[in-house]
Amino acid sequence: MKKYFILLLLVPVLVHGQDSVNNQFRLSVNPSIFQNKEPLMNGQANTCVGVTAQAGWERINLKRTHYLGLTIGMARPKSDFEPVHFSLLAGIGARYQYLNLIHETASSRFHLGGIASIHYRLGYYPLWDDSHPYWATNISAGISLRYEKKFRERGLCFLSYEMPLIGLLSRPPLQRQYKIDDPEFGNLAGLMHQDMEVETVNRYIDLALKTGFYLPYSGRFANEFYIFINYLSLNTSYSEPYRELQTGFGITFIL
Amino acid sequence: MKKLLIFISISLLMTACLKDDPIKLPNGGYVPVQRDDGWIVSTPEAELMDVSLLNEAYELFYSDEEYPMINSLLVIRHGKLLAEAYCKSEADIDRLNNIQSCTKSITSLLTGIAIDQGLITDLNSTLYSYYPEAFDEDPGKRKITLRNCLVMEAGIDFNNDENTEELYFAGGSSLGYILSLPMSIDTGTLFHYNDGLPHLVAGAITAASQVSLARFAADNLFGPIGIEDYFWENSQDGLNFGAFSLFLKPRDLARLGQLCLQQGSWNGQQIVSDSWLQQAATVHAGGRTPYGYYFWIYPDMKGYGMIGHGGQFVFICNEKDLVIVCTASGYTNEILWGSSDQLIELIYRACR
Repeated sequence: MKKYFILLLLVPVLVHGQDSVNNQFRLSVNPSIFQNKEPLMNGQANTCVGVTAQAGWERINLKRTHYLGLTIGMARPKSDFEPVHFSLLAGIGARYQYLNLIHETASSRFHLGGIASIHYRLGYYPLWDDSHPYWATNISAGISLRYEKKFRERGLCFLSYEMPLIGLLSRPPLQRQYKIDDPEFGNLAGLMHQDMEVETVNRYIDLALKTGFYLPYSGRFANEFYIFINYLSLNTSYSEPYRELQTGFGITFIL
Repeated sequence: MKKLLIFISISLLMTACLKDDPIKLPNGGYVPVQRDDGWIVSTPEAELMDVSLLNEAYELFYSDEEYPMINSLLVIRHGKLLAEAYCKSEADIDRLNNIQSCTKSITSLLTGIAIDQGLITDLNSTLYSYYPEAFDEDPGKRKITLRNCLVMEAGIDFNNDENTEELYFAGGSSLGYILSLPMSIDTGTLFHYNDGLPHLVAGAITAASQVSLARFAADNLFGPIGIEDYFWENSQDGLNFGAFSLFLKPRDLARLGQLCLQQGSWNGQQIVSDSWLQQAATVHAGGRTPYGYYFWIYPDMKGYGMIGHGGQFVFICNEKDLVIVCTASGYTNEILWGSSDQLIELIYRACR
């Protein structure tokens, strides 16, 4: 009787093992051509080379993938008016994504799932406004999908797409009737959460398209090489739409 | 074929770019809007202006390449509004704009009114006599007079790049903050334009009148000339900034220019004495550009004016019976300001 009881306790572990759970650490670096428009200052498109880095943890079993990661990024966008790069834009975000395998053939797989993310972008454009920061904050949820196709013996080529459907957004107001914003961290953090407004795709479009190759080298180590395009248009009823476009390539180290 | 299509699609996506929007509205001319706000609207021809030169000025105004941060340009001659345009948004006609250091000139007008009313009896009176509690132990600072502050020769080492922001956020007494700064040079010896001294003058007016500077302005300046909508920022201790952060609509800023042009008189009421305006518009100090009491002087054009951060200005010329008002975003780097002299000269020359 005692033997049967021990076996019963072990069943979830055995079942879990059969799911072949795989935990991975992922580190990505993404240089890009970064462009943005901050119409609260002017209608100019600012351009520069930007870079983002992502670190995350991924848990994969046969049917489902979970990803939790952090993103940081920096760019020094410049318009045609500026002789040198005055401006600085910094971003930080966190993202949770899950994908369910919903269709599989011998050579391909299709996953569909969801994402939840929070992202802060804080810009300082001293040539145009040396007194106030400009931000675009989103806390959002939406859909994600990924299509994979076998590539040579062990590799995969993939196409992934993410699109938030709803977001809690914050932008600076049209007019700021004060001379200077307090640059202390506490005040900036408060500003980036002020007047948060729920918006859907009519005012909030945040598309991320990525395609590339997954190349495993050994049981524990793999790389992804990809190109991507991200487009963001983020607005609220009380402000003007912030726009951002990034096109670039990236590499992910998977451990 | 399928691969080629995929390749073309990806290439197109990767070369996508955001398009520049024009910084300004298309040139929509400069015919003033008729409103029931006391301004009489006229035409350039009726007020003897050379239209071709005026056109040239407004072409610059509407140009994306010149004055990118400019918002409005108004021309008043013979007391009539003959040209007015808003190149960013038509709504700017009703928008309160930070006139930044043009505020100093308003502080000057209020000083004149305080003198007219006997609240301030002598420009050579010391600041110490108005608010002794704000002073430290330095005996030299106790000798600083209102006049020293009005001509920017107090000698206090107030550097706008650092101290304006500190003044803005200073806890405790804002006057005490300015007066706690070291002396860089003997009082009365060197012109040093800064945001600290007009605030000290604002403190003296507040102490003498026993009301805030904004209240004093509302009762004695803004109200009598029809300025109802305005906003004036104050320091943490509640004192309105004497050097910056008065928010006005462009047409109301024009009223203040017109008041100066009319020797301080408005609808038959003497708001500020002519003698004060004459003193304020007389060269007392200055560097490359001569300076009166918080007014810049343009000797070549026999005019004087207010100048604020962003390139905004009010130009007043008695000889031509002319006021020019230009507002701009008040937070930009000097690289974007352009030369206000270019606009002023064109419009000045347009006066026949």
